[in-house]
Amino acid sequence: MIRILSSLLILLLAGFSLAQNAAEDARVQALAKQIRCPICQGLSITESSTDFSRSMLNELKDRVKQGETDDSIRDYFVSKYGRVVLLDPPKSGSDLIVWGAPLVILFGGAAALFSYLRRASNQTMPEVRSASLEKVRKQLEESQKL
Amino acid sequence: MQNANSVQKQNPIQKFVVPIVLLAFVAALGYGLTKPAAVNTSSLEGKPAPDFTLKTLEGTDLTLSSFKGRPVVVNFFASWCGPCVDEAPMLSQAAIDSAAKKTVFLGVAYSDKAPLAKAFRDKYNLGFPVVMDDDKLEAGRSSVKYAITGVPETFFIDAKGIVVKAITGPLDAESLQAGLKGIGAI
Repeated sequence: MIRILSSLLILLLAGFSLAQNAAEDARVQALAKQIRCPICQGLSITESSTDFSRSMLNELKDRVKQGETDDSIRDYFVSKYGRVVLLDPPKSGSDLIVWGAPLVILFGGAAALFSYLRRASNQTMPEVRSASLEKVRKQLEESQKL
Repeated sequence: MQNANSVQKQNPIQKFVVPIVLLAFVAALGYGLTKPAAVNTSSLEGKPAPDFTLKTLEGTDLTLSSFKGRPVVVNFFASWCGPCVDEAPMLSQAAIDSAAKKTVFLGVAYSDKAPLAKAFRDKYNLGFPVVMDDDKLEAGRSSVKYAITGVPETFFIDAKGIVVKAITGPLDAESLQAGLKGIGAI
């Protein structure tokens, strides 16, 4: 009985450990995708195979293992490499311009286009004076007689 | 009745605001393209030098903080790096010249193999300790602690353990002298 219970306990602990490792790996992957390789063009440290990226990835793994929060890990890399190390700029402060500008341009452009189309469709034909109409009619009649 | 020849008056907003916005956009673009690139300064300047413990080429542990109280020059290099070859004789001579001030020179071989780093040290008569960066250990991950993005990179640390100057890229005689002066090494 004791043997069965101890086996179950070991299995339970092993399962728990595996689940914890999987969760840690998922966190590492998610965070690493946000950290830019400092010597590459727009690649994260998971996509790049440089030694610099490998060292940074090892640092990130250690910090996740030590139980640091995502913000604290991101802050660590920003303190070392500057904000440029983040592939997605944070949605706060002056970085809001990066996120907001495309939306402003998109909506501004849509508004300008809408306004232009509305004005174009409302444009009325210029009115013609009756004297002019009469003159044209006479000319048409004369040309038909000929 | 509207006059047939009347020209539709342009909205003042259209007349002035749109060109002004476009002009501002072009001006901002021009400024962004023509302004001089920001000087590459290390995030470490003015801050305490991150500590590390690394193996020397002889296999003994060396901890940076054990040199506190003396000016320290930490030079990240690699045997495969061309500019490192160019600056090696200068560093070797500077180590001799600043010995009177008990200045410590330390070479950190990055992304290198110990036999190659040893051959490099011997070839250029580097009379100071050379350690191997080790990214597998937290204590030895000096490249991340110093946020290096290439080799060579050199950090001038004063006797209080503060990074006074960091130089990204190869040293020249002028920058080396300025760095040494900044930490009271000469």
